[in-house]
Amino acid sequence: MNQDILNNPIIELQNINVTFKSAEGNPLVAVSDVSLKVDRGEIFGIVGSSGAGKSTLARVVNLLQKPTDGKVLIDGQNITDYRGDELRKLRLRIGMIFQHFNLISGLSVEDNVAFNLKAAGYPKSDIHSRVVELLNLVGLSDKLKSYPSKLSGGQKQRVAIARALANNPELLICDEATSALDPKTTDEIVSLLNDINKKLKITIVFITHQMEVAKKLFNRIAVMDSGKIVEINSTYSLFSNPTSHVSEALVSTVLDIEIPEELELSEESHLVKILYAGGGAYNPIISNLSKTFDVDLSILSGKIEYINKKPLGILLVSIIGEESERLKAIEYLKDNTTKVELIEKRDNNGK
Amino acid sequence: MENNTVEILQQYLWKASYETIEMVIISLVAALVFGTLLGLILYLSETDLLVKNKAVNAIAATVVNIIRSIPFIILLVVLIPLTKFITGTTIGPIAASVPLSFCAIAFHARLVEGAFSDIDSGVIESSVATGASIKLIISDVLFVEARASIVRAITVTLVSLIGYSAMAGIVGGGGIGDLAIQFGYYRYESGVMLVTVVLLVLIVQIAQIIGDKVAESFVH
Repeated sequence: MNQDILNNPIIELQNINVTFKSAEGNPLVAVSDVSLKVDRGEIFGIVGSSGAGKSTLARVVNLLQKPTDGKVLIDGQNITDYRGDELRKLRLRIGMIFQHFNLISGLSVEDNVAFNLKAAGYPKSDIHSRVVELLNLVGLSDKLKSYPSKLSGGQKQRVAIARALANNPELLICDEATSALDPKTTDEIVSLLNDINKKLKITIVFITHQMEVAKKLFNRIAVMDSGKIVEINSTYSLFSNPTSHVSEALVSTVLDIEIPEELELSEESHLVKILYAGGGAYNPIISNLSKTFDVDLSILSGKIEYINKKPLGILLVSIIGEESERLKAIEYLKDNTTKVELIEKRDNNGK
Repeated sequence: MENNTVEILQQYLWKASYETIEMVIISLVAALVFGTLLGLILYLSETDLLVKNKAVNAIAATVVNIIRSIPFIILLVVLIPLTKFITGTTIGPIAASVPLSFCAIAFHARLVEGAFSDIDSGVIESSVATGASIKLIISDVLFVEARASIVRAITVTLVSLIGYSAMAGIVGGGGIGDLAIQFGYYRYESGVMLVTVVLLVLIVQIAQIIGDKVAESFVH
């Protein structure tokens, strides 16, 4: 690989628009003026609620969906107008897996993986050993002769991953690849993809609405809403400090705590939600607080998430004491944590 | 059974059966080759990720629709000049196979198109995403995923052909159906009618059972 290619982002989308003709004649804008770059070797996530245009955008990368406007650059090469053989050769370098696995139901696991090798013109005599090698990589070497209908969802996705990796692609596109799986299987597939990313240095673009997956897998995230990118950030920054309402709503699906319904607080207290990120997460803020000010603290709820191995904590605390001391304590918290949110006390009718 | 009936059957049944088999096999082979091909063209030319081509699709669809819209009994007559050109004659089972083949090709083409259309579009998409050639997708995806449906389609075509071949008597094609009409209907030989009907029912049953078994063996 020459230096030029290595210096370019592996994917660069420039002002991508995708518009569909709808039955009523009104054009339906699926993707609107999206520009982004994906770096070599990273796990890049595209998140958003359903209908945000994520899957359409992912399909633009390997031209399963032709953009109405804009440019797609792979390794710095403009591929937007690739057709025929040129396009086929490009697709050999890009693996793709899907929400519903999309295996060929009439072929055995072995033949499913072999299909991708045949597509690349792999030498016939070497196909079997390469298939075995790939199935070993995904931990399914005993299922060589099974048919997809006999496999669980997680196993089917493993076969799909083995198949997608058959021709040593530089890039793996995952379209809602864990959305049809149960949480335990999702975790297994997530850690398999993490391993593959490290072992094979493959770049992964992963589309999902599952923030649990985003938290565990992505290095960087683009948040999509109504066809537009509203935020691109590192996963940790996005979770600790979302800059848009959409991001905030998505983050809150994993990183929020419920305020207990039956909570009754005295007049002498303040209820605060504290978010602490980065190095601050290790500081003994709470015990400092009660030593420094004349307040008592009771922790009502809390959790700490680790994102890209960095802690991100959220706590619901009631601060009890004289009003002046309480306010000083809150000021102290504001200075020493990432975010402090004062929660309005509900009246006794629970409103 | 009256002696007369037995005599008629002894004299004509073998010949009639042979004629039916001849007509059905010729037109079924035509359907398998050209009908399948036409069905594949219809499917490929209408499918986005494959080789979508509106012009090709419109031409193929029009040809199929024209043939399918003409009642078989009229197609038999309309195609007489073409039959003469191809076979050199207008009577006999070989001649009758020409209109039968036309009918079977158009009929089978639609069934095959339907069999391909029933394939999960996600499977097509994932195959296209691999960078496989259209040739490989046809052989390893389309014909693999649709094979059970195609076997069922062949069974339906075969059964329809056995039915249509009974009308071939109009142009002197002969066959079991013609035997039933000539003797069972025009000469009030109810025994002949009964035997031919039972025989046709048996043939169709056997074809259907075999077709179902084969189709089932392709489902994994």
